[in-house]
Amino acid sequence: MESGMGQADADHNCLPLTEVSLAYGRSLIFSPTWPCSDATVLFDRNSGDYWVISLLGARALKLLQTHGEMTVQEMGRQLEREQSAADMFAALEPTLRSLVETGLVQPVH
Amino acid sequence: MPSKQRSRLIDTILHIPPFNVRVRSPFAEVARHLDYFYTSYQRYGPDAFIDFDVQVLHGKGVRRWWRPQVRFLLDAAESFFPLPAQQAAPMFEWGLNWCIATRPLGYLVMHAGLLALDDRALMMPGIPGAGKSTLSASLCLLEGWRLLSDELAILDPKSGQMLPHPRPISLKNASIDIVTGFPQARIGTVYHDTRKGTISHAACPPDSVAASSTGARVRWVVFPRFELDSASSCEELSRAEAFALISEQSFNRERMGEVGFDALCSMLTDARCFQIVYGSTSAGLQLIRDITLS
Repeated sequence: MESGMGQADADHNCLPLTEVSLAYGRSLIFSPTWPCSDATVLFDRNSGDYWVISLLGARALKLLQTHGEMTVQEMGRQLEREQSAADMFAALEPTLRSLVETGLVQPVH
Repeated sequence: MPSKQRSRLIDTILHIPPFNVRVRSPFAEVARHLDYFYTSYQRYGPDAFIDFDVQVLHGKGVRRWWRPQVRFLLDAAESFFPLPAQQAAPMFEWGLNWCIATRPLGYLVMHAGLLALDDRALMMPGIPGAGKSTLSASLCLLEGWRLLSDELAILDPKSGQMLPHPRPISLKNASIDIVTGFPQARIGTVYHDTRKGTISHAACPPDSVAASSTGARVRWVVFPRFELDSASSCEELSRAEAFALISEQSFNRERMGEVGFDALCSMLTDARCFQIVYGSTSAGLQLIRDITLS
């Protein structure tokens, strides 16, 4: 845990993610899908920041761009339909948590 | 380079592609520098459009006579601390780099060596000391590559082309002796005790200056790292990794916003990216040959 994180933040991180949306104020664009690459680059028009994220993270963000809010269950089902991967469900929640920590995604309560 | 010359006021507009630069200076050293390195560059009359209005002037007040200094001004504004007067010519080069990095005029400007074979460009981003300039000098003076720039790679987002910006190659410390040994090298004055150590410049090859209206597209991005006497190694990088590394060496990607992001992504889409470690100039050249011939 980072030293500046308060108890409320810590409690929040322990809660299961059930529903998520893009973080408020983000306007995201993606790099092309480059061959033989396991990552993609993401750019926020509003802040000028960029991130290198996993392909799974990029696909999750694209779904949120299209649908707005989504439950993690529904997102998992959609991603599975797009590209079947045995460990996709297991990887999705940690990926979304990482996107929450970087300020790209926010939980919906 | 001729040794001494009487002081004369320079006031000229040089076309240093892709920019027009007005240079004014009373320093004989700056005049000699321009005569030696920029003789074949086009010069324009007073009505020409100017991208950068540069003055390289004497220090103010008693400094003019006691420990003389040189000042660099862009559009009559002074943005640097003065340097010792004997560094007037290097200050012109450093100041012009700063102008291009801070006022890019719609181009994405990256800290990288840039060379081309035909219209295929090799880009070598890197921190100072990575060996960009020595490798750039070696490739153009020994291997027939066209030099677009030894440290400022300029990408035109509209065309996706890298624009030549041929200038004298900046050499530091040990690289001066290495490049002086090249048969076609034309080396200028050596300046000791500068903020970068001992420095000098090598003239851009005439063929590269003559072809400076011809752009090129990046086909290879190579991040060099010089480690004296180390074994050679080469690792291919993903484009996403390369994006992050290039972004660290970009002067204005943040200011270029979405245009800069799209331009850099498009550039990388057409390129293969590598990280090399080399222990000698010949080993570095061999790695570049292996990459560009594969």
